[in-house]
Amino acid sequence: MSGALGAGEGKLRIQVRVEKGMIAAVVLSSTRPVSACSILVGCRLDEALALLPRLFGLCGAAQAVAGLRAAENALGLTVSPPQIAARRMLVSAEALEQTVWRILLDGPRCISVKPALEALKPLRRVLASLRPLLLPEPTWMQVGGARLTPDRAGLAAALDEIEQRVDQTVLGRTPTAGSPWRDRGAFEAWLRAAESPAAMILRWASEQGLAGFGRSAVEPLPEFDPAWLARQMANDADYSFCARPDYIGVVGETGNLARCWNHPAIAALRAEYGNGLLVRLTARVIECGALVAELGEQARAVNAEHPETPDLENASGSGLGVVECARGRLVHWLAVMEGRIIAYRILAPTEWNFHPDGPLARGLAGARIGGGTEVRQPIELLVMALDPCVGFELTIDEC
Amino acid sequence: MCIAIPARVVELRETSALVERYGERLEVSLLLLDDPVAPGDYLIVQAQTFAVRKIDPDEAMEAYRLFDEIIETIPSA
Repeated sequence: MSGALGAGEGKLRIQVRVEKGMIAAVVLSSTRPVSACSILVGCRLDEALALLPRLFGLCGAAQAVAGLRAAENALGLTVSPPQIAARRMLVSAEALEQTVWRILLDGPRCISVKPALEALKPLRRVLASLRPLLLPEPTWMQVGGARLTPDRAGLAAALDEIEQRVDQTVLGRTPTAGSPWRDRGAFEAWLRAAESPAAMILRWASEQGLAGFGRSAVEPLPEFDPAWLARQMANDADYSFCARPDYIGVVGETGNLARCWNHPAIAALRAEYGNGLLVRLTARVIECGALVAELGEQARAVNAEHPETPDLENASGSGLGVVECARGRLVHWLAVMEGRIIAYRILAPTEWNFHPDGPLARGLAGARIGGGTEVRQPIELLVMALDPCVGFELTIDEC
Repeated sequence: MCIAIPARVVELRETSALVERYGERLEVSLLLLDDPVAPGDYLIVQAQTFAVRKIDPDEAMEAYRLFDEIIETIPSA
């Protein structure tokens, strides 16, 4: 029955052949069901949007918001700034939880250090408290927006707690300590001394001579031309573009590093290590702070309101919804006729980062594994840094 | 796409549970959950490792209906 499970969730398979301390071949294959969203065809538009968070239980907010944006674009609806801010808060909270998860649980496991489970639990709890502080109804995924009743005092307390917990658990610094990103000296000092899981993982990569491991010439995805992308998605009846995308012939990467590409600390590290392991892992840590800041900024933009529900019975049109989420750029495209879905496509960030010509495959091909390091550890850490949205199976063939 | 199939708790262990979905059994950590868990409960599991949320049986049945359809209709199934 594991076949049935594989068919439902899918899995990424990474096969690597190592010869004389160098990765000689990389094969990526996947059983991810990119056409799973086709089951939404025939649903009423509001039903389909309500199903998204159930179908994609681990990134439900991002999937719901991408679907809402696609629907609202299809219908030509403009959504108020407070609604946009509330949705961005939900997506950022979800992204923060997943980003911190990689740092506290998955990273330590890759380097055989005890995961910081006890630190993640209270952070997850306070992040989960944000939705009811903003949107009273759990069914907030309403086209045109949902009832917004921000509890300002509750939000302020929750955001303070989130900031403190991220500072303490991710950076391992006290509230009075300066930012490790203000210059290279501060970063090096933090890297040498901090005892947080993030610092331990980065220090391990640096000490093992793996700072540049997995570097490649793959660059971040540029901004999409929406008309071009909508055409690709609309014509993708067999989901081949969604399974193996390119942007006008080029495969780019998306996610933490792409978003932090021009951050001064990342630009300085890139000059030395390209898009290698240390740079990717540092971007993940920097993004935690960026997401905390994003939560605070959007919280200032939410206001109480109760928008009217638009008529969806006779809705017809097609539209694109693009959301930056935990793992990168998520794209939904849908077509609706007389209120029912007639086509639905989803392009997930994993399809870029784990593309056969993407940053993992190109970063591993030809990479040297230093003496004394287990081959598996740096590869798993690189996979973790690129963060697939499904489980993966790594097979290493050492000649 | 991070599709999440609910898993039914078969047996409780010290800080983990044996869960089942579509006939496949796996052991998942309960350490991230706040709610108490009992055999027969339904959980959302991340990366086949950690239970991240308990869901009510109605929601689980609705999810299974969707996943049954996905497994039946997708060619790779």
